[in-house]
Amino acid sequence: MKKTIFYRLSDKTYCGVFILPALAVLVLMVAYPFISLLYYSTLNFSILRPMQETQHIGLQNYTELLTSPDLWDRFIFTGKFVVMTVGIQMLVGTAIAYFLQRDFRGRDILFTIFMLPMMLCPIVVGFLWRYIFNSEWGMANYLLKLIGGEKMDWLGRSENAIWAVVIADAWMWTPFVILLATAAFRSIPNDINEAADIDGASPALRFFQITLPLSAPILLIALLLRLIDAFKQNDLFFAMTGGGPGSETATVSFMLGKLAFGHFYTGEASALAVILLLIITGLSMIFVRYLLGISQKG
Amino acid sequence: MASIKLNNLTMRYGNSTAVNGINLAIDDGEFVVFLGPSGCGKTTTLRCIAGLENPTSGDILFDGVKVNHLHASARNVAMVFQFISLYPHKTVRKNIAFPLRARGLSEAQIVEKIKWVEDVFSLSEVMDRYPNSLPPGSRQLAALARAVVRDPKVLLLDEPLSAIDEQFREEMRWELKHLQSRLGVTTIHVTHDQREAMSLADRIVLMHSGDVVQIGTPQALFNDPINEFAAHFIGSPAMNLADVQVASGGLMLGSSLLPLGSLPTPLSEPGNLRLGIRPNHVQRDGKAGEPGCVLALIEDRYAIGREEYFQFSLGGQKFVGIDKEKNRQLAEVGTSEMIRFDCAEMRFFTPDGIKVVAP
Amino acid sequence: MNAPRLSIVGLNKSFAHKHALTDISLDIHAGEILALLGPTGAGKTTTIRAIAGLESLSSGRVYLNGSEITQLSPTDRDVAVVFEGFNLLPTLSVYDNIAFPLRSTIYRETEEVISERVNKAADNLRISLLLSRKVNQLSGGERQRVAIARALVRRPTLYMFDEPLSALDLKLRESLVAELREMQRMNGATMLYATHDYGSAASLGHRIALIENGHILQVGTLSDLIATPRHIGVGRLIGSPAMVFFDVLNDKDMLSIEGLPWKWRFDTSLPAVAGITQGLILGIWPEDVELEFSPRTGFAQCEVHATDYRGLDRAIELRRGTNRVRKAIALAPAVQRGDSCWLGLPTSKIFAFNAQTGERVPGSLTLLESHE
Repeated sequence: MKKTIFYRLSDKTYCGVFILPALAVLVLMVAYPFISLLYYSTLNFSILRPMQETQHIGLQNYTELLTSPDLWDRFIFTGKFVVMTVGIQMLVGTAIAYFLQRDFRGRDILFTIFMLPMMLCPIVVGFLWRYIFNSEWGMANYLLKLIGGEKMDWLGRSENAIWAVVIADAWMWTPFVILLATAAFRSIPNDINEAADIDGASPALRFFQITLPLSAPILLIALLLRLIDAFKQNDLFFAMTGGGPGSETATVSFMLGKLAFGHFYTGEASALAVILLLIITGLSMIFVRYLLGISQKG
Repeated sequence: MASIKLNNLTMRYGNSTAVNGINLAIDDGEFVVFLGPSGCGKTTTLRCIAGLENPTSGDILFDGVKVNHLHASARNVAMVFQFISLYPHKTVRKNIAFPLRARGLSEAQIVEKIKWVEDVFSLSEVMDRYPNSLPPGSRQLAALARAVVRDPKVLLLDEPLSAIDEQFREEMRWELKHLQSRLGVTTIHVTHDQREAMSLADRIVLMHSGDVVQIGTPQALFNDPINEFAAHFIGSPAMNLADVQVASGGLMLGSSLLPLGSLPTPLSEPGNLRLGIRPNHVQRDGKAGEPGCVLALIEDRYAIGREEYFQFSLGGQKFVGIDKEKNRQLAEVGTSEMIRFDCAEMRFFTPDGIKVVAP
Repeated sequence: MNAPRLSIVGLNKSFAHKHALTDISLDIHAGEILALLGPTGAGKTTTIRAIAGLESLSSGRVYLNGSEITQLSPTDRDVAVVFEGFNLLPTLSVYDNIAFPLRSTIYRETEEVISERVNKAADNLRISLLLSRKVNQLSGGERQRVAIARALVRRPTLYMFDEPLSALDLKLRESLVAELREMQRMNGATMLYATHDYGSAASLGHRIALIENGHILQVGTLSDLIATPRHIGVGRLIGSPAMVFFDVLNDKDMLSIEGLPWKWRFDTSLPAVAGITQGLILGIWPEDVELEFSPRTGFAQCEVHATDYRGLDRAIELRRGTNRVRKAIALAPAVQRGDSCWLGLPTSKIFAFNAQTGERVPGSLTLLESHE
């Protein structure tokens, strides 16, 4: 029996057929809502009161948002948060991965333990650290007192609270960086490491001149993913500070949540969502361009 | 530049022995080739000399000084790996500069040395390219340049030519030989390609299953193999090897008698031996009754280049011969001809494969 | 019927940015071994895959035993391929690997027949003792033989080997080439054998097809290729050492080589276009180059730049100016670096190639002057 029919279909047709289901889902669940989002962002509209007459106000939502000093404060706060937490994650994560390269007794167990924080539910992590940072009976202040320090108001004051959430977020996501950094280090052929050895490179020189540059593509992916996630971080703020005091520890994402599902200013929230989307997309594109630049060389 | 001495170098992994007590002395500036089939221990020995692995026992000496305890980076050896391992994210220039920077040379010194290897290896056109974009052969040269630029005591090559096409390999062999003699650095080259070994080596160390089989010049190994393994491994096409019985008047192969005439027989009494003779010493110009001449049926004929090969059997065992004269009439499959074995070039081995010394 | 076993006509295949195959046409006759010789990336693997049905073609047709199989799926084509990586199934034993094709839905043989064929194939390749082993316990050479046995067991119309021997030790490669030749002698198998190694191609192939950059340069027996090379690529691929090339200087109608003392006139039947004599490369087989170790008139003095001991003979490289000549000579007399020797180029043995297209320019050379 000659199976000639399947053979005749070109590769392109095959591709099309297999992509179709995924494409359908994409359209239904992403494209349609997205277009709706853009539409809503031009309306003065609240889904709580769908019957009320909606006004088309064009880009007024956008102008209001972008000229609001409060929103800019939120942007600055978000920026601070992202830089701090991702910075810690990348540095600590890469360092830990570096030291876990060499095989020693118990290394695998240690590695697994390091992975645990990432496995927890974000909201659980939020509450966990909220209790740790509780001013009265939290572990943090307990340990501080043990080493002779003073009790601190971690979550009630915004300059401390940002550190608290950064610590919680970094604790949860550094394992991700460890994982990717380990993969990056492992992907370097052993020959290259041996060649560096024979060339007489000290461990430091080898790390900065060989290991790091060759790991760059994967590490940059890790960086990009962490940045995007940090921008969106909500659960920790929700659990630990509720955005407070006031709205001093609210990130832009948190604001968005409040606008959309707290105040139900759907139109405004949609506009803010679009703004956030543009920022994240813009950053990602810059990254990808840079990443491509690095891999072109190789 | 350094002389190397290996004293009883042994490497064991669990129950298996990869290298079984090697003793070897290499002179300063010598080009030594470790030759053998895969798994014979040649690469392991090389890596021990490099400092990438620690031998189970035995000593490695550079210029009479023990270096066992020294880490690879402290031994001042240079190595070119099988898959080249140039740093892919650096240009050729930066690759070559790396070992110099690692050793803390000044900018001026680095520039000078780079210029020097650039000339020696003719790399001017590719200095600012990345390893992945280099044509075959250039990568090997760049890797060699990086190895050589810091005046290492020893140059170690781990099958560096195995990853390129045959036609480039030949080119590279010429280059490599030339460069080594110009630079005069003690070189150890590991390969399984006996043509490479014959072409490059001042001396060959033939290895098999962790043991050293024979050490000698290419000519010595070719003309006077110490056992059957060496006889078979060296030389392309391979040496003919067959079972023979020593009888009065000559050698018996099955029912055919190969007369040896007045020449002394290899054994003083009748017995079984292995006969070895290279195909170029087997010709079709035999005369009946003369020493080394026997009638045989031509079974196959083929040409490689301008050389005509013919194949026949004696006593059920196959032999290959090469016609020396180009104008001779071609062998015809199916006809019987008088074959002449060059008795002076016959080699004999015991049934265990060890060379028999003629009495 | 005298149709060739395999016939491919005008195969064309492009990948995203590259023409892998351009107008490939070949015939393989029954009982013949055709060696497909070319450097890495020339298109050998793609050709084999196209014949096997694993690659779609932009255009072209494939005929097996006279009937067209271009549209057939790979399972319906009666060809067996031994791939470069052997492609053995790691979870099965050697026996099951060899038996695998016989158990497929197309062939569906009974267990008795399977057992007999597998044992015979294993016997042929001397791996009978390995039948119960797992594939990952085998050495490279043993795996190679299992892959060949798997192809053998189907008795296909055509066998194709894709450089299966290049990764192995040289000695193993030699013995397996002998093995394949023996196998072919006994069974009269028709084979296509792809390699980049001139030695393997020459010792195994009845005819050789040279492929470079997706083009077939020439097909013929080795003596044909040596006597009448049609493309400069033939000179590059054939021979150890390969053909010697010289860049040509053109002065009015006289050809000369920089640094060498001869001048020739080139008469060609092609219309006299200035471009032709402008960009020419002269080539000559090293075996035709004449060498003397004492001065001779009409010969050019050169220096021995390097020697290469090859056991049976010696290869030497001669240099004069920027010209390099590599030739194999007998072991005696012993020649050393730095020795002088005298080089002669017999005019009738010189080939002229178009420097741009690489094609041979037919015509005759006449020696006009000789300054030494």
